[in-house]
Amino acid sequence: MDEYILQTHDICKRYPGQLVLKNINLSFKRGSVHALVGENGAGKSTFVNVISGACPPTSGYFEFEGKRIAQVDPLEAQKLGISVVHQELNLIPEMSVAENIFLGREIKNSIGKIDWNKTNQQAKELLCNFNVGFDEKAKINTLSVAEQQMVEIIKVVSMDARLIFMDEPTSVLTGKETEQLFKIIRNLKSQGKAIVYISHRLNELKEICDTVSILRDGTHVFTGSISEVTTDQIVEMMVAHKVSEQYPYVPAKTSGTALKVENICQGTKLKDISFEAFKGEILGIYGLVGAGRTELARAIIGADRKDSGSIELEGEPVRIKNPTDAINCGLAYITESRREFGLMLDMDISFNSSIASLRRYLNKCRKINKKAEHEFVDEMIDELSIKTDSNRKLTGKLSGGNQQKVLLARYLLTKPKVLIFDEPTRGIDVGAKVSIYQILNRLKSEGISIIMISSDLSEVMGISDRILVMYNGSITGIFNRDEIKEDTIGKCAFGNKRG
Amino acid sequence: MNTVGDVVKREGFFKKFLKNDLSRTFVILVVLCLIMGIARPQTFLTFNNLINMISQISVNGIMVMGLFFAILTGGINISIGSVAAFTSLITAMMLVSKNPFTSNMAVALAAGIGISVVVGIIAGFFIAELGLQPYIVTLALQVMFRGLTMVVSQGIPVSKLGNAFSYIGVKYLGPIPINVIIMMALFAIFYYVLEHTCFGRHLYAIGGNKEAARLSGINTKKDIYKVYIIGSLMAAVAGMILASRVNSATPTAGQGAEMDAIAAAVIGGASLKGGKGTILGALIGAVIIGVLNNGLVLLDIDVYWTQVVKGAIILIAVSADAISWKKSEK
Repeated sequence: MDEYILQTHDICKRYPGQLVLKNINLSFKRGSVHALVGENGAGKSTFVNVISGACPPTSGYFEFEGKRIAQVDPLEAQKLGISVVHQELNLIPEMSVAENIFLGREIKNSIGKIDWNKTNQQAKELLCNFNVGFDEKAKINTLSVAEQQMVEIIKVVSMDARLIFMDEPTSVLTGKETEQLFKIIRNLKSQGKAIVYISHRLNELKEICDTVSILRDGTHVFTGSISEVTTDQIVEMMVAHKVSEQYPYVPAKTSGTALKVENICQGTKLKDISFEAFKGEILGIYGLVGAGRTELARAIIGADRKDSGSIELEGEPVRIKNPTDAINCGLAYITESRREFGLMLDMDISFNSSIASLRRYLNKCRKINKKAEHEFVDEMIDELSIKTDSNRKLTGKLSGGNQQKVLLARYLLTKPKVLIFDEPTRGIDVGAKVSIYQILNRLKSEGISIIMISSDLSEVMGISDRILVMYNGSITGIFNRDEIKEDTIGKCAFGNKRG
Repeated sequence: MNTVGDVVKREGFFKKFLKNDLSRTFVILVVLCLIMGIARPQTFLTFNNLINMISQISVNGIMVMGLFFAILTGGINISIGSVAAFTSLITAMMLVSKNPFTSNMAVALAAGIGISVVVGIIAGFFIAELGLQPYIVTLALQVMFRGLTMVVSQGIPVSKLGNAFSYIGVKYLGPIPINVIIMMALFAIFYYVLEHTCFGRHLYAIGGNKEAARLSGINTKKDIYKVYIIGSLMAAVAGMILASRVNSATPTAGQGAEMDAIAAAVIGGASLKGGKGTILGALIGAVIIGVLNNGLVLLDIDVYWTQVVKGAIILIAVSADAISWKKSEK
């Protein structure tokens, strides 16, 4: 039998305007745990999706157990023996463990009735093999998250999965539960299964993995034995400085505090957050997914409830109960999910751009002056160079970059003092990115305070005047531009407080 | 080259015309009227018949306009039939009461209208504050208020509502029935509100993407309250016109009215997903249903067939919409 269960050959994946995987050549051994790490957006999930059939590669192929495969669909991948245990579990809460394990391949008798005795019997055997502490008849919603995860793992093993991807399996587990999971992983390893372990918790890798591969910007940059590298080296390779020319940085002329946030708390998501943002600067907020950056922004603008904390705008305390209040006092927030929570995709550019600032176009009888509205919108289209033939074009038909600019236009028309921009360049192509950076630079030169939330460290480092790093709902460090070093910021993002 | 370009342009115009929901609804109306005009030129195309028809339409037309607000935000309001029955019953009972204060027409009308506003606030509370599904909330209200109507009336209609009350449903101003004038006035107000005010824009935004609307600083809760208040209010107005037309408030009035109203809005180009459609379209939808009701009677067709034809027209209208969307996506 071949030593490697899976070998990929020059796998590429292109999305419109973006190459997210570039010639990936990776090999995975049987009976080993292989870590796959990288920043958010480095291409880990895309890689998993390509191999597990959720999306086909643009070019390249892979060999699974010696069979050459160009592309598969999820069902075929499962039949081949490739399975993914996702972060969000795909179990049906109202059904029992046994029902979930055999969902979609129920054991039936000769007249097509489900044979429950046999189903439960087989489920029991599986649970015995893994030595778990719950019953096959237990309902999923009575189990803990860790136990549910085990059900999911047992399910894929029962389908004879021989290559198992685990996406952030420990992100929801306690220390003890993690130990239990590791036991199961070791058990699988001894059965000769190959595990691909994706995690942001780098200190776990040493404990459970044999090999580590690092992706950065869709490129495979390193593979080696886990004992060869230190955690710090891994972080460095993950975030190593990329092309700097694409970030047109201009020094800031700051003048006084624009926004002052004190002691914001929200359940377990935000822990006592205090910081200041100055007029005429770009404050970058960096952190991993789940660090609480978006939660912080939404709490500040009143989109979500906060338990405590106060906000001052230009020295004046303000009470912000909802996004309406935020916009009225000059605080704008542009969402990271523009299609989901940002744009009305079936409406045109004009509608989308003016919706937050309608009060500006009212005449004396509170009627919307459409001529004035269109003038303002057209001015914005020019200023932000939105590529369109008219302001009547539906936003759903625009490219990602132009959609982002329409959202920007919407909030700029509210004349904000502080602009919180969540993932300003997510999912848009390089040219549009640079154009967004230039706009941000211009806004900051006009004295607007810009808070830029981003998962792309090189972007944060390239364009910010100061950087605030978050980890797990807390601030772990604030850096001035001259103090910025990628490894220190990287470490803060992984939970080490700035010394 | 020129001729080719011209053909493309002409096709473009025609396609554009048909892609527009409003013009498509209008085409359906014109075709129906043409068919009727040819089949029954002596009876259908007379001034009296047309006026009578529009007068009949006013009840459904006013309900549709109220309902359209809810549909525009991606909601629905199926309580309107019951609310119409209950409010008109209360007004009628006050009108026939012996007490000179309660039998005063202004007081009686205000009471009915006031109740409808309260119902709207109740619906708004459960939908906006608790985030319940509009269908469920208004279903509950529909059942409750039909029940209350039965409790209060004991199933017996309240008749002989007096001369003054007949103004709103029977009397004319010149050649035009007063109820038609009420409908057109409401239409003018709503058209203005939806086309030219912030509130109107906000409703399209909420229907287009509710969270996006909220993050744009729109007070979505407040707007949703208003939407359900308007819906109830229009139901009450429609209910009173109906009671006035038959000079009696019947406990079963308005049963199934919500279905006719939804049908009219959808035929008029509204999408139950929200964010799409115009109040003019909704009104034309109501006219189309009115022409069907009227026309099939004139054609001596069994009245039960009306239901079948109405259903078919809904299917035709929405599938034309779906097809034009699919094509435009290509």
